[in-house]
Amino acid sequence: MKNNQLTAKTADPWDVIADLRKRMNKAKTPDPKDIERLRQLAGATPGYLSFADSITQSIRSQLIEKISHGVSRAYMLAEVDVLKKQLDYDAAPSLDRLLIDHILTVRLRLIHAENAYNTRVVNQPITLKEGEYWDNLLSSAQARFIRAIEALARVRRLARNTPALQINIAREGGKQVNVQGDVTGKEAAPAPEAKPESPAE
Amino acid sequence: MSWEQRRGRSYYFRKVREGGRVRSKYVGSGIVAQICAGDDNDERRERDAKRAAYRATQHAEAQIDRQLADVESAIAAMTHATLFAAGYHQHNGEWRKKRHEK
Repeated sequence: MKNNQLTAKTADPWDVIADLRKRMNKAKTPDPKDIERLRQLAGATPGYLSFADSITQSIRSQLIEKISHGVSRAYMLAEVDVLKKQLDYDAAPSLDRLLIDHILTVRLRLIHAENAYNTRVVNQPITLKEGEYWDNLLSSAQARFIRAIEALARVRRLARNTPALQINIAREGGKQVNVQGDVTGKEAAPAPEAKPESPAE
Repeated sequence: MSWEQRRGRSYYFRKVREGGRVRSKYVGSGIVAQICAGDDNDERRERDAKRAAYRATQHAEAQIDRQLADVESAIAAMTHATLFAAGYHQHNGEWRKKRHEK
């Protein structure tokens, strides 16, 4: 009895959600209790809504199916988990989560492109055309990964809602100097003390 | 690669492209030519299989890239919509917050 209670308490919400989804998909008319339970669990598990809805998730699983087997699949999934944690997926707002999902997918794509390049191009007798093809593939995967990271960085920077200060200093006969900085006070250097003006000036 | 009939006998020739022109190179006749023809056939089959595998890989890669491009454009549209809704606009490619009108 105690054991059952313990397992019920420590059951992974993702497993419970998966079980509920399976059961509800099988049933013609799902149990309203199941619906309510799924609703509560979905609300309490921040990553779930994105998991259920995200199109990138399905592409990612397709990609993993296509490009990895056995040990390499385990490594890939582990890398995805680590990256997800590093990007703070669970605490992120929904738009960020979508972007993180995309980053994870394109990261897998990049790993695949790098592997393909290593196995098919490096020290292999191939034609120039084939070499060019794999080179382009790797370049486009790298560019896509950078674009995805930049998109997340841009959204996070804008979401911080800290207006960046831009000062234009122009002197007569001199060049215009544009200074851009943070005005929140966290990163700003303390203002220098004003010097008392000398009466001669 | 081909067998050619001359004066009632079969001779095996290899076709080689040289400087944009195809030239026939005589290999031989009889059992030696048959062995060479068999080798050439095997080589050709292997080459065809490699080419087919390469094309299949290209097709699969292109499909993945197409899907990713679709997702990328959808996400870009969503991001833009969210930022517009939050009061940002693009100025020379840079996102800026709109000033409040007086």
